[in-house]
Amino acid sequence: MKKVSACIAITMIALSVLLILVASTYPAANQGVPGPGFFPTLLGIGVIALSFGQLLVQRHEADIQVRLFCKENVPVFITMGLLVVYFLVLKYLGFRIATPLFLIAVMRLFQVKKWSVCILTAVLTTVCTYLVFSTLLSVQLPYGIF
Amino acid sequence: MFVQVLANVFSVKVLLSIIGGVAAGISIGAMPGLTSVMGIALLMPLTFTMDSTSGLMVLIGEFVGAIYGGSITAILINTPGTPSAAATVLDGYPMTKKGQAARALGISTVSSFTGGIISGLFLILIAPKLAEVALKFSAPETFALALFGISIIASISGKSILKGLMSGFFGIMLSLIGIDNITGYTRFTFGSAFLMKGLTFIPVLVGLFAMSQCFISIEDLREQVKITEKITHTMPSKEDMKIILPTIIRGGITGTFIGIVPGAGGDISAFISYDMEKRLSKHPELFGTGLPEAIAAPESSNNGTTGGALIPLLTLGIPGDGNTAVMLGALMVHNLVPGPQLFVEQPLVVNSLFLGFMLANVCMLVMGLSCIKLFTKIVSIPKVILVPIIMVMCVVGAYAIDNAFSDIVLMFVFGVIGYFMIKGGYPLSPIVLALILGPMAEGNFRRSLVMSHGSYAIFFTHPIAFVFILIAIVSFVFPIVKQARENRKEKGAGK
Repeated sequence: MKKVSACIAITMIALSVLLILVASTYPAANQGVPGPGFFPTLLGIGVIALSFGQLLVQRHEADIQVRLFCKENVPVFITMGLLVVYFLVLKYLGFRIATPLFLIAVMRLFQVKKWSVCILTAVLTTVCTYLVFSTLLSVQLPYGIF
Repeated sequence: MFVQVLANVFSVKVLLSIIGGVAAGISIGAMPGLTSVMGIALLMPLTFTMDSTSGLMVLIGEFVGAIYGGSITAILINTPGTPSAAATVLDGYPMTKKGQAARALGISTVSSFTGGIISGLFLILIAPKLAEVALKFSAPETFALALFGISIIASISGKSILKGLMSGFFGIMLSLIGIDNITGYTRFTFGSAFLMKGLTFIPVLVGLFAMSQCFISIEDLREQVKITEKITHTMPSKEDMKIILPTIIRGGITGTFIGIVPGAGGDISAFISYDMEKRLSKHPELFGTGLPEAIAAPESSNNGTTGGALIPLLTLGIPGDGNTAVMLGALMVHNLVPGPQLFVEQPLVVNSLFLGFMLANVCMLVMGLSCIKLFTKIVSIPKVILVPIIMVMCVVGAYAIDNAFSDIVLMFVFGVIGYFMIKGGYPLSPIVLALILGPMAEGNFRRSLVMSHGSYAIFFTHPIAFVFILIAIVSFVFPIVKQARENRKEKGAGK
């Protein structure tokens, strides 16, 4: 866990430095009333202090093993990739085609062996979601180019 | 007004919303790994096109149902569906092992119902009075109140306060994106029109609480809930009712007051009530062997927190935990700004929520006693099928707000951020709390200084503001000192 935690702390420090730099370009205080850059600067300093504190504190803490970038996590990252592909094709294929395809792909990834279960679940989920959102709640789900 | 409220709540639409919300809540709560916050975040998009009362009743029903639902798997398979049911495991599962699963479920259902009703009564009695006081608040008091809300982050941070504070500060950072509400200056948009209006709240919530949880669930897809117990008659007997009645009244009251304190939720109240009951018991040595009162205490207490948690949310606009923080977002989606003005401007909605809360508890009782078999079937749906469906719900939910693809991307980004934060041990609730309270604190801080022409003395000359600032300091420092002491004790024990 230490490594993940340290990476997050370092990212936070980088973000805070950016925050302070950008905030320094904002208008200054007016008649004692802080300008729009006051809070971001204060916050940036706070986060940097906390992040350094975290980096220091965790050196003395016992490490807890976290599974990240290992065999068990491969399906997580593939699913993330499939989600990105799903978002990209959703615009063009529309909800009614892209969603069952996405669901089947994910279920196959999760080792649902029976094709019938995959297809039935995918179709039923798509139809139910479409009916609830599009028909019942009047939300216009993406139609795509078809 | 009373007739109007009755007509409003007893309409088919609202009643169906309550039933749907409670059923979804019990199912979600009963599934280990799915939390009540995730349920509220997932159901929220469904409420967008509903009228405000119906929409909010879905979410209140879910909240009430999920806190109760956690006890089903706690009793049947020794795994609490939600953290609030962790204390129920201690005696619930031993009772199941004795072959009395139905008895344990019945006690849990009746206790949860009574705890909820007690907290509802307190909600109805306390909330309007508190709102009356809060109506007198101006910018310095509101700033101090928001500061107090932010200080709660220290107590909801879990094991590491430092990480909790970092999460909270990250949430405030996110809230800075968009147009500054005092000067109209655009901040941290980097020229993007999408960021001008700030980050859309709902996709961030759905990403953080639902999508990230899906990613976590993928890691242990093979862990499957299997319920083998046969459940028949769940209504508690007269003898059991006699034993548990004083316990559930005590638990309900304790839970309500713990729920009012921001930062302390159902999990804490359940353990406190369990412990209290053990101390009061004539046979404390039997706790842990499957005693009826030991199931009733945590269950009445954790459902007692539901009404308690709604008190600061509705009267002050301060969410005390993840559930109420997400619910605050839902109120805003329905153009209802929680706080004292809500009681003046929307008395019908507020009173309907009160009555609806009571009805949600009644609905939970009826479903808990009659449909328990159905819920155990739902809990048995394999994760390999459930997780992809929830993912699609997340995508549709994020898209439904503005029909914008950018919101789907935002939801996904926060899902990934949430996943890595969970892996790194960073709590997510502080982000939401800070995202809501950050702008409230900043805006009112600067507005106060405009009022005082730049003099900081304004925060000390307004007594209510001063008291809240003091409480904020105490509530910020106390958990830090407490954790430091615990760490020292642990080190001492280690040596």
